Amino acid sequence: MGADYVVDSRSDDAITALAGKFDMILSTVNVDLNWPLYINALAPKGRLHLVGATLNPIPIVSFQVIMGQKGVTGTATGSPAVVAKMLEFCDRHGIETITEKYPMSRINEAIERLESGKARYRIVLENDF
Amino acid sequence: MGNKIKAYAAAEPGEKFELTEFDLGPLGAEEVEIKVESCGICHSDLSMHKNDWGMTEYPFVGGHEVVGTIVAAGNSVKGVGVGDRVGLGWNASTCGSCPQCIAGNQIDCPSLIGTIVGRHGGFADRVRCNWDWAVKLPEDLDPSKTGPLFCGGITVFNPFVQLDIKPTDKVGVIGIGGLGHLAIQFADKWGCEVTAFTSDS
Repeated sequence: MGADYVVDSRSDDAITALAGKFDMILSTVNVDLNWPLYINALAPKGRLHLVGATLNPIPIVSFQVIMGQKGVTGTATGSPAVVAKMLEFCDRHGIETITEKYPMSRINEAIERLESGKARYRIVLENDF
Repeated sequence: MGNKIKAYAAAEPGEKFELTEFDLGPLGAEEVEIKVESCGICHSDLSMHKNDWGMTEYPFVGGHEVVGTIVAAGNSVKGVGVGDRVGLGWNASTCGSCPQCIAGNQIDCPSLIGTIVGRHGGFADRVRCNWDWAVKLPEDLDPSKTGPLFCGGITVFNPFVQLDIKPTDKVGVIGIGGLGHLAIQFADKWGCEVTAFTSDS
């Protein structure tokens, strides 16, 4: 898909070894991780940016963000002009969603599949009315 | 064209989706009606289905990663029209007049209405939204794979724009699923060095 490196997200040692590296860490998960280690992996002025909704608060140690001017931020979706930019970008670079397709009439089965966590990676329902 | 649509609706939290007919009433002046070709399923459809966020109205029709063709347009619709192939995501309507809307930051509009919040989404033959949230598809994109870009995709694309990410930046992506697999492609094509954090072996 284009990743240069793959790291075990639950390996404290592996993340500790990446201290000071990232300009942005984008979190898409809704589970609890060892967040202070991820903040520690940010470069100066780096951001831990959240788009996944975790259930529990994320601990931020003041000095972790004071030293190096780091931040923890979040966003959801995007405005129409940015949506249009994204579509152009995908068109130019051949970026596509990897999908599993179901007829819309099998929606309940498709939802079970999504809940199982086994979908790779996005389920699309095709209108068969 | 009538105001009746066919949709897959859940009568109560977590119940199965059943084919149901709804009357949407007259089309609003700023609204377009989209004939749905396909619609992605997002985890937030599951959360809304179960009323995890306490804002779901039943019968519930999910679906906010829509691709389809505009089949009707209200009198005040601008920029798009009947016959255009468009996509629709989480957001269906914003006011257009608050400082956030005028500045192009419509997602921060205090009057924002979600496609599946108190209204019916894209698990249906037709769905409606305000014209400014129906975004035209470039011709070369495969429509059957484009719906998920309108929620999952934009959610991970917008941070690159808002945080002014540079091609020389090093980016980490935590979680390689519906959002993460797009985030990695965006970061790579943006020019960044990309690290994927995953618990999958």
